[in-house]
Amino acid sequence: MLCYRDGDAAAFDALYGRHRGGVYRYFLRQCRDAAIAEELFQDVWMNLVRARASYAIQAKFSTYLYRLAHNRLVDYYRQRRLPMVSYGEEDCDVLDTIPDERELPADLELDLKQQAARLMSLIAELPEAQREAFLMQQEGGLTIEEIASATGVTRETAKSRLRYALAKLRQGMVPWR
Amino acid sequence: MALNEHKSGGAERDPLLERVYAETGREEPRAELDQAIRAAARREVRARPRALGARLRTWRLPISIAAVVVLSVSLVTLVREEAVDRLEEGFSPRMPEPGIPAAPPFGDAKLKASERAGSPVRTPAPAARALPAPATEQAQRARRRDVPASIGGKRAEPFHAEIREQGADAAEESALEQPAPAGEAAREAPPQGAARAPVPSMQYAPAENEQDLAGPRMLKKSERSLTNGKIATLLQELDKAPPQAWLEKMEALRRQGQNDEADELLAEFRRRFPDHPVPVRKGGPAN
Repeated sequence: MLCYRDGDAAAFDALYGRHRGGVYRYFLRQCRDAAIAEELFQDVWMNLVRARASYAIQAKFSTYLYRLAHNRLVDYYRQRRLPMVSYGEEDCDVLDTIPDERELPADLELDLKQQAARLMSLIAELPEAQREAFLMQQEGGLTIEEIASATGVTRETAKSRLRYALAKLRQGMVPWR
Repeated sequence: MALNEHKSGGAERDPLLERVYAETGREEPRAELDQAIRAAARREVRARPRALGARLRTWRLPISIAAVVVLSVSLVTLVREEAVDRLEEGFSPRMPEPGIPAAPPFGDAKLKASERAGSPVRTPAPAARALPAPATEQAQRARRRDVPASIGGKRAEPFHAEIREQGADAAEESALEQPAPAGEAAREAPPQGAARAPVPSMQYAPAENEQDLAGPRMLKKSERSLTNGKIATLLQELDKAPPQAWLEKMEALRRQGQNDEADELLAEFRRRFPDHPVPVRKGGPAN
């Protein structure tokens, strides 16, 4: 990013190629709408391009990029007046939000693709904040500290969100384990 | 197993979940979107190739280092030049004026030789009285010690030696041009140095021993006594007299109550016979 800031256009191509898929899926799985995901995705990259001159190293580039993505997503929720479920609050009881195991077909012989589909549905049912923490970890490769920095919360909050998300997903995937 | 790790407070990662997640769809943005974004990025770079601030940030450190180096070198050069100038200024006011013979510095053998030949006793110049010559030389030596070796050793020392040579030559010429008046007449006559135009401060009264040079106070007394007619007469009488005659004369003066004259005579006696013991007089400090 420093190279791009200093005028190297090819450096942007490298950065974009490395992060385009992760950021796009982050939006897609949060919004569950490809058109909206593309719009948000484009906004984020354009914001990055416009802000290149003022870029200064404060964290890893991926942290910086996902902070832009998080901010854009919050703006999107605010514009659409969508309820930001469990943003800034934690689940007290993980079991309340975990899908009921009894709904799963017990006799179904599931391959990996089916497991993936099941996991996607479980991710979609996660609260936004927990889903965001999980997606940042999986798509962006961010650590707990980086997730905390990108989402503007404390490390403990980010850790808690991630742990809740993983607990729910594991619990939902128990029949396939 | 991973679940157990999680329950026990282990890592916030689950390899199994990650493996399954990797099998989920790897959706990517459309190629048109990619091209649009990349084109916008290139346009941005072309429109503003590089911010001035960014360019300055890049050169900030090298420029700072260069500035520090240039300033340091300039400062060192300036200080060295000023030291040399100060050293030269320290000598220049004491340079012998053209046409006026300068006495050689303290300890010069040629001067001693000419004095022994009978050259008149010179009183120190006003500047020399204010700062006796040896002290001046000491100060110059001390100043030379402060100057870097390259300056003090290569530049100042030859300069100083040149002055010494000039002074010695001038003294020699002076001794040749003005033959020393012999005996009493020489001592009665006013010192030539006092009658002359201002003598450069490098000059000072040549003396036979260091006591005279180090003690301008005594020279002053001698000067006063020489201007005193009565003392001058006494000195004429005692010029070639042995020390005992001086002592007897002093004793006689004291008996007559002429203590001032006796003191003046004692001062001159001390000057002429520094190693001769002076008997302690009853009721008085000496003789």
